[in-house]
Amino acid sequence: MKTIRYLYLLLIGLLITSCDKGFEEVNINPVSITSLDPIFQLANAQFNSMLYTVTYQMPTVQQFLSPFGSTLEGGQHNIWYEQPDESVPWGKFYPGPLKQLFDITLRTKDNPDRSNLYNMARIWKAFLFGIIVDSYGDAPYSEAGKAVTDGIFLPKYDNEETIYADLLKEVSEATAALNPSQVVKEKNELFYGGDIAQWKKLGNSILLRLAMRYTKADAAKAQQYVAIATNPANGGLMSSNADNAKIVCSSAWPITGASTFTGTERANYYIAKPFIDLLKSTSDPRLSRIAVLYEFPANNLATVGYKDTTKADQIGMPMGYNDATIVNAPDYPGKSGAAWKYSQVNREIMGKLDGTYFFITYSQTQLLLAEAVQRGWVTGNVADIYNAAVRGHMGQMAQYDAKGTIPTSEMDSYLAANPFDPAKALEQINTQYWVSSFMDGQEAWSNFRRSGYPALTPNPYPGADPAVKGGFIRRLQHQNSEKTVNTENYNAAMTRIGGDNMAVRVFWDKP
Amino acid sequence: MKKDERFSELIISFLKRIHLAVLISGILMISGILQASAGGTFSFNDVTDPSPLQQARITGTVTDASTGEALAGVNVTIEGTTIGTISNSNGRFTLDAPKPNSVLVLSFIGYQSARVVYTGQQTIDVKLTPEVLALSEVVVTALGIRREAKSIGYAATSIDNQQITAVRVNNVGNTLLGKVAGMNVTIPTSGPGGSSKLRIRGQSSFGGYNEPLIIIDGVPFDNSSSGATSSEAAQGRSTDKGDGLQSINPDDIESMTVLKGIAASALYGYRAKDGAIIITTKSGRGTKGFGVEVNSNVQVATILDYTDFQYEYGQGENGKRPVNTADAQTTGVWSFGEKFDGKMTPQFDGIDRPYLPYKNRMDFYRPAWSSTNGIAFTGGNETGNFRLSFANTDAETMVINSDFHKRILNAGIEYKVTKKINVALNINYSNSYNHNPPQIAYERVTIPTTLGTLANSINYEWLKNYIVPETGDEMPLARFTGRNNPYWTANKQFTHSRRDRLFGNVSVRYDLTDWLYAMARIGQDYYTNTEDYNRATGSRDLSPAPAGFNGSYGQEFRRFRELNADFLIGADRKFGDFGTNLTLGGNRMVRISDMLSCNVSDFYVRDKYTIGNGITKSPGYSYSEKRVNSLYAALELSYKDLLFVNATARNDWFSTLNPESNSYLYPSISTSFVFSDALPGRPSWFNFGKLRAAYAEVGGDTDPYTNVLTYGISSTQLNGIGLGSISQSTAPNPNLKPLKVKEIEFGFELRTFNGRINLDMSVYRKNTLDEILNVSVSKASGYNQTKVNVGRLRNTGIEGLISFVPVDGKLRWETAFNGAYNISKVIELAGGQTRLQVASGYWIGWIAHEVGQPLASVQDYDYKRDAQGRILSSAGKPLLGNLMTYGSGVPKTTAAWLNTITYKGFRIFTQVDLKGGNVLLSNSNFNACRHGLLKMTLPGREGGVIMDGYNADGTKNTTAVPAQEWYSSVRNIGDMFWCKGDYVKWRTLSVGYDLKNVIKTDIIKGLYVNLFINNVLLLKKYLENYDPEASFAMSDNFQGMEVHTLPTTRDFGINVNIKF
Repeated sequence: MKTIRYLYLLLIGLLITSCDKGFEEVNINPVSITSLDPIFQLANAQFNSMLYTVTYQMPTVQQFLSPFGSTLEGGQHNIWYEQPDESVPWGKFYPGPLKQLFDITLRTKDNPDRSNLYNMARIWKAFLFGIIVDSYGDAPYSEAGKAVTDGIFLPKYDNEETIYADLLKEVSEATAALNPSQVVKEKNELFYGGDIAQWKKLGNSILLRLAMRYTKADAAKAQQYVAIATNPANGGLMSSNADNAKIVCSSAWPITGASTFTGTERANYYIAKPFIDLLKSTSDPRLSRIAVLYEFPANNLATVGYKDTTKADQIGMPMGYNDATIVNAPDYPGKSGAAWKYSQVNREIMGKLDGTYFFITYSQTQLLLAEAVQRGWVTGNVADIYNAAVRGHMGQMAQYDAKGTIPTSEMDSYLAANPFDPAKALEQINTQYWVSSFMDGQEAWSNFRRSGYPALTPNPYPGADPAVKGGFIRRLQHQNSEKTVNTENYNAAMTRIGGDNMAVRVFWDKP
Repeated sequence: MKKDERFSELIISFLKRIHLAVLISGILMISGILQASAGGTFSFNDVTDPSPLQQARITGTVTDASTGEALAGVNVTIEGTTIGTISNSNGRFTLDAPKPNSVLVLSFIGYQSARVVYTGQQTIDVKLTPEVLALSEVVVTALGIRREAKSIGYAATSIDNQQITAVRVNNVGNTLLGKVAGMNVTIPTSGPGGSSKLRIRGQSSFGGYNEPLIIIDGVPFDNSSSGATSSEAAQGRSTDKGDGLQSINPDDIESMTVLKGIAASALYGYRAKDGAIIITTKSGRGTKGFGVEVNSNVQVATILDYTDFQYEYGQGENGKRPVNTADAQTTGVWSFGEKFDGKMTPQFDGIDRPYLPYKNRMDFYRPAWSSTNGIAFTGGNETGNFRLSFANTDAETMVINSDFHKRILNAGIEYKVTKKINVALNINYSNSYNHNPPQIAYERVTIPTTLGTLANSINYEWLKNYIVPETGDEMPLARFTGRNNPYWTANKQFTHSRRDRLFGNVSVRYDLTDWLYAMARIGQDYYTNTEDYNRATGSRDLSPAPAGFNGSYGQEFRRFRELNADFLIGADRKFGDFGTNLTLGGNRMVRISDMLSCNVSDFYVRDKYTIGNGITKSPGYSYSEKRVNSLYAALELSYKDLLFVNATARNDWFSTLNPESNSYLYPSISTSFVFSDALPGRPSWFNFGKLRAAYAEVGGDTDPYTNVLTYGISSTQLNGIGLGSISQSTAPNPNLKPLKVKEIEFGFELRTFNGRINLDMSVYRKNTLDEILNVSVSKASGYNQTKVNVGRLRNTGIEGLISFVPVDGKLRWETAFNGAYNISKVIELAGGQTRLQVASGYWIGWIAHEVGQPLASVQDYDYKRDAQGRILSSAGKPLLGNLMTYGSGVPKTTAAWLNTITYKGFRIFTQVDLKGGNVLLSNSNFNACRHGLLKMTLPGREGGVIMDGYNADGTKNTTAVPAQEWYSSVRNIGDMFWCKGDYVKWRTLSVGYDLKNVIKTDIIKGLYVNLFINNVLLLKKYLENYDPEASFAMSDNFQGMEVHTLPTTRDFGINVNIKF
């Protein structure tokens, strides 16, 4: 009897602990997905490629600024202030879209059926890496994104020129490899619904952009790749606004940073004086679509009062002031509540939360083409291309919102009043590029550094970082997290490029 | 309102809330006195009360020799026989008259046994003398095993019910503050429904959560807290919704034992790396007949205001006061205006008022009342007993529209099925409702932040005008849209958090022989937590909705279940001088939790917060499961009751780790040597001396599902396309192995002069190895972090308790000091890193772990300096220099001085405690600086600040910078905002009186009234304007950050306990 009891107890004990079937399966999450069609990741990568450039890039090219200090401090004060990761290309791209793109290429590389997706991912990856080099110079490339596959957590930095050379190769190869007759259609992407012809135009337009960066650094290389990009046999460049690489956002998926214009920071950001002045001086029809004076700018759109879009009334915030000293600025317009009476971006057109974000446009591409023709690298009629590009951007305004539509008559009269002047070709082309890139601070900044146009006056702010005082911000600084974590590789790269400061020029940025 | 009006209002409120129990006790007291004077007694509850007329029986009373209190549950046996009984709740017992010259043995835990020879007397009254500080005190150790204190080779501190219930606080964990040497209790200033942060012997983990394991009646209990964190702050939910201990009624606790070292808790294996708190709930054990106990408590928390702001310059910016309403609506949180002159000045609400200072910002908060009423029924006889209790708590927070309610029902039943089989059941059900717990330590909809920066010329009462009548939106107060009007926040923002929790266990114990038993136990802890919350339409800080009305609403439904099944076989035999005690057991733990949620943003219909009314909806579901299987053994060997050796081994198998390395065996060994008993000729004053030593290892695992890459896809589409991505930002690692904590400790105990001078000391060293840590990696790797097995951390400390009884007689005064000094050191971090940043202050500063430094370095930037160390300036403003470490955010020293005076039924208790050796970085003072409230911002108001700095060319700075510009340019230079975190507080004063001495009635067995004050005085601090004890987060990785919390309070309370 006793023995039976002992045995019984032992049995209970064994039941409780030893025979645990499926113990190892417990650690498989029943509600997580372990495999996903990578096309959905491309859509994610596209959406998350939107950049927030209001703090540094836009103020540096004197288009948009805030007089306030600390986190808002940027081009207006020429002071580096640590930005949130999601506001800078480094923190936004590497753990965001690039991570997805690495995974897509890894998973589609050896799958011939998904070769188009593979090549789309390569093109977009190159586009993003171009921005990283444009912003920082040397950066992790060959060892980037390999945490899971190769266990590389602290990647070394590659030479910026080496990276760029590889980007040219990647984009040209991937564009050529895109196959319109592929059976599997990659419809679930956000730019063109999988239209391969348009993807080829995108690839060539990106290639043209990358190639033109070499204008001063290596003209021969620039010419070589401009030729490939513009060769109609390769699919050609973007040929209308329908080819624009853009995302039409929604209220559930609003534009990154648009809340700056319409939300919490709406009373803190203004259009800069040089930009307003230029558009005003040429009576540009875009001005009345871009800029607005609200009666109560600090309020929600519903209660902003009157909306003055009259071109002549627009007044840009001058460079080099802060919230205390701005009262001393010439023509100080005063305040309305919490806000100043300087022009702001129209919240119903470009500042919309559910508006349109452009990555690379027909207008930008045509302007680069115009410069390439002007430099004699390809053949064509500069004036025609120039005019088409200007009309292109004016036409693009309607893609932000129907309220932005500019009638052809206004385009005609603008071009008639401000005709292309071959003597000032480069200045005109690149000044138009500056206007065409409004809201795309990253590209406006890069092209300003590359071309030197428009001829802006250096920011006079007295408390500027001594490194950039009297000049322009030519580079972004690294995030503290990178400095403290990847210290060795970071230090080596910074020694190479001449220090982690905003005055260092990237390789293609020659004086 | 004037101060005296406020006081009289307090008194009236108090009288209004005097509770039933107070009333009953008053009536009973009077009736009792009347009865006593009339000479009559009666009894209704004790039917077995013996009649003195019965001849064949003897009766007796057992009382405490020192206090005269009746002792219930005393074992009365006749030596050499099985005849025996137990004294009832009046201390009385009855026995059939034994043979003459029989010896009656009266024994009771905590008292010296008494032997009385029966010589034919009819009544035997016995006074039992308490053991000198309970020399053979029984300690509840791991797995609920009771052991004699002297056999234990590690530090353990027991806290009895009186210490828990004398001074009432809303979370029972907070009562431990100052009571246990080496235990650091932090009370987040987050309201009555908040958590209690308990840490024993420092922090063993880099990860921030170093909670001791809570064991209730032998079963682990989930004490995880939803304390304030920044992750939910944007939704207005950086709120503390309490921890597990909130579900425990202090009146249900019989005792708490704090097992400090891991040797003590090693049998709990992986979860005991931070020690354990063993809670034993009351049962009906030892009671006879039926008893009722009523507890009633009312208290009020009054606001402590430590702010000492400048009241010379009023609202405004850049030296200008508001000139119109719009201006006033821009500058409501800036005091960089003009000198006060009483001239009419526009206000944010459109009314012109004199430009004068108002020092009443803290009057926004109300005195917070709370009350707890509880009742318990007990009963028992020879074969079983039960206890059933219910307690209800209603507590207001200091913010209007914010309160906390909990109801706790506890039932315990024990039944002897046969002589050998004992069944026990304990069930605890609690229901709590946290209504609008205030958000703290954030900016938007955070009342303390707005009040901490509000311009000094705004009377808080004007803020009651907070809605724009035309739109229904929030009226602007400042250009910082996130500084929402406190009344808007309190009235428009809501959180409803409800929790139903059921935990308990059933156990069967079978005594196979008198030396061998087997036990099986199943325990479950189950709770559901439903929560819904909004962001109100029209809040100033919200972006406008693309369509409809802005704002958001969310619902969450969480379930948690932990099942523990144990079996235990125990043997206890003596062989001559040698004793052995062997316990073998096993445990299976299964923990499953899941959460269903739905968030919506923007609404079709205004102010209707439902899922259906939302325009954009995002549902979500998450699931988590883990299992741990364990086998363990414990062996105790003793020699002559003076040398004890305890060895334990436990093997855990973790489901969360790589199957190749998921099994680990942890040993522990401890020894106790009662050297006083080994000294033959020890002096008579030397009562007791014991040396102890222990070594133990325990391990731990990690969260489930950290081994594999998973994907997620968005719940809403963009242009008809779902957005997919890799879910993790932490790179998965399939090769994790368990972490290990190893600890060695030595200690000794001395008791001398019959317990008048006692000493208990421990030293320990605790090493954490292979901690499973999320470490930062370069973001260029694609991930923010990865989980790895690296990191070494050491905690070394000394802790001690010294107590004296200077006066012992009718008046007894006991004074005790306990204190601990713990120093941590980060020895190694992952991948050779020297700094691991774990948190940042909401506005300024970082918390990082640095190799070679104590845990939790509080860091911020220094001024930029030249080669000579002089502060550099550029255009009159400071520049950012190097990252500085000011010190550790974790206190090194915790200590308390406790005094208990008893005299004729009075018991006076006071506690003074301190913490020190840590630093604080004050985000609140940083804000007060850049908003012009600090007195420090007065210099330079006229003519600007000429800072004491040098230009790059070595010349002295002469540039004057306007005051506001300068004082807001010091952002991220922590130099001005850090200070020592040390404080000394006179924590409590309580006066209790046992009215049983006054009323002579049998109806009431006990009537105890206790008055108390909590937070009597803050005796020493370094932090300006705020209480250095105010903390917000449950994670240790925010220690050292002070960020706008609710103010601390001084609590006044009365507590009545009646036993029938």
